[in-house]
Amino acid sequence: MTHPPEDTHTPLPEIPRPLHTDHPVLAAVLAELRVRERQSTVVAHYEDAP
Amino acid sequence: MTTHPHRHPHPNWPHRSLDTTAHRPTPFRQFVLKIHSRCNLDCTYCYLYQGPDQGWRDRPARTAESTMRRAAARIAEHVRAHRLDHIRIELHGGEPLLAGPGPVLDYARAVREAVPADCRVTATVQTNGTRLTAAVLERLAAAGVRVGLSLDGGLGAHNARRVDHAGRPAWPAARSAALRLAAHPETYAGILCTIDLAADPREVYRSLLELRPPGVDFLLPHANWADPPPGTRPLLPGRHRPRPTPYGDWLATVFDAWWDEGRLRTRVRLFQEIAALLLGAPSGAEAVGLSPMAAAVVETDGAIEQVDSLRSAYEGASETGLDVFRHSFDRALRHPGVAARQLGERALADECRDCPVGKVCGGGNYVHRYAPRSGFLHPSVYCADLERLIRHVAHRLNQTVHEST
Repeated sequence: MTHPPEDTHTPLPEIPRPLHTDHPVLAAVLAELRVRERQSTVVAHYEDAP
Repeated sequence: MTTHPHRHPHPNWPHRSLDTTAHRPTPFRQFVLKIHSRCNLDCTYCYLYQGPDQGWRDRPARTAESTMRRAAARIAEHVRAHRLDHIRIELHGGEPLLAGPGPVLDYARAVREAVPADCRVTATVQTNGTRLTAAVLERLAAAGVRVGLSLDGGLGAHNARRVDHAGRPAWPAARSAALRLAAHPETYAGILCTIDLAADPREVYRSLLELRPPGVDFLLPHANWADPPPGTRPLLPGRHRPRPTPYGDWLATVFDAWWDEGRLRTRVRLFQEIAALLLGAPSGAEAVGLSPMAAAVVETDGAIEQVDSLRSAYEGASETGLDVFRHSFDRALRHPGVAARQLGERALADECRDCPVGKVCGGGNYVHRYAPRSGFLHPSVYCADLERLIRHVAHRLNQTVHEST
């Protein structure tokens, strides 16, 4: 269930991008972001199939 | 080319009211090339063969070599015009391996030979796995064609809806294919898994890990405001609150299992994209975020279309009226449906622009915003589920980042 209606306008937290982390999954996310930063244009890919 | 009389005419937005000359298009970088328009499976939930658009019946079952060559030449034309250094081709069906690996290899070779030498081509075939024998896999691997599998989990029970036309389960053959792929990690692209609320999310995730995919993409079942997700009731389009969030809850459970694993056992695209967006980066997937969609489809008869999932909305929804014999891909970039998916925030409904999670959610998958007549300028029918998941990921990510610093 979503939050009550009065809470659904709460902003998302501002999350700073850490330079390093010991968290293995976050580290993988950050590694992928470093690769993405080298791309001139980031596009949305289709990931689906009937 | 196959076009249909549109028993459901194109809706107001974007087809009748969007000025497609008012933005600078982003070139296509992903080409979904249909190999075979039939499937040996008859999955009970398939949005293509069980959905409202039966246009596949009028198309040739297989793509002719001449169509492959023409499509490859059009792709090369697009690559040269926009100086692209990398494109992706996705070899799709139906079941693309229905006629063996030959047509898949021919199409991939045609594209690679047509594009300039400095353009890298990543080729992936997306299969149900039932025809992926050891010999087929060896040939695909040797040609540098990656293989993606469509499965609903890593147990037979999860795949009970995936049956052939005689009702026999696809799972035994698909499982063998997954195990073969696990032994070829360089060729294994990953698994697409459509969410079934009846399945336990932890069990689905754990069982998929046993198949050792490098990546998993959890897909929301295609639905819209006229045809709501399984297990939910119909509503008028809007940002309804409070709302039950069964799909958001399901995904949040899987997220926790993935995040708390202690090591990265597989990439989960949806979660990684949400985390990226929360950290201020653009998205690389259509499910969330505001990045321009850069995919075009070439059907077995050479028609240039938008992505297949649009067919879940109404008959003819994916059609552009263009084809590789007469038209360039640049022409397709000016189609209202294509342009609408490259507008970022300008393609969002008012409720989404005002929503605190709107820039991360991005309105969700465009397909899920559809309502008859008015079209796609609505929040996603999964709006509440997406907010539930995004707030959950934000909370966990924020916690982890602050523990790290």
